[in-house]
Amino acid sequence: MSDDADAGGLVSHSELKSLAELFDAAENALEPDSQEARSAQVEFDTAVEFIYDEKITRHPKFALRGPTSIQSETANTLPSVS
Amino acid sequence: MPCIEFSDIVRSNEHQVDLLTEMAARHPDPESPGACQAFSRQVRMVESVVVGTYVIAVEAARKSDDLLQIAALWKSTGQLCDKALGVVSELKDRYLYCGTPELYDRLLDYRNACSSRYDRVNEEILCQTMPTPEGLFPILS
Repeated sequence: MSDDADAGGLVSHSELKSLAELFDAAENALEPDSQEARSAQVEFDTAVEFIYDEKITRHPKFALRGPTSIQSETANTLPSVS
Repeated sequence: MPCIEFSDIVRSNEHQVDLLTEMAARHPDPESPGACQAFSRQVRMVESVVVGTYVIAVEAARKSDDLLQIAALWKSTGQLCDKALGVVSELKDRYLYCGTPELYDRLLDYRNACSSRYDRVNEEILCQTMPTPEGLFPILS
């Protein structure tokens, strides 16, 4: 069974887990300007934009939420999914 | 076992920045014998304590669930960077070949990293005051 099967969110559990891992790699890098940290930040931003454009803006219930709120909520859920 | 606070670490490391000022007063002429060598040693020490403080802040932030506490970590680490930047900016032209311009650039990078993390944590604190619409995120056990 997929880990998204009982997740019940427009943003899936696996997407959230992936975002949390990228957030951790970018935000908690011991060397803030390292190539790895920069790449993780770019990947995170791209993933958030993709989810926002492809899922959220197309759903009438969530269309008014901005990508920033997704980033913040990903950070808040980090301990639960990592 | 003695317990130390993050503020104790920052205060201790600020002392290394003060020592850089003292070193400059002791060696006003970087051309004098041994001056640049002694100054460079203290420059490396300041870089080391700033990087070390940043690493401790990252580890502490990862372990904490308290966003206000995390904001305080980044604020005080940023203040350490600011203090070091203030001292180094006055000395980097005089001690041009003693590692100060490189230290200045590195301090700027760390200060900017602290500042962006501090801003983002405050954004997260603000976001927590807004309800999450039902059905947007999965239910986490």
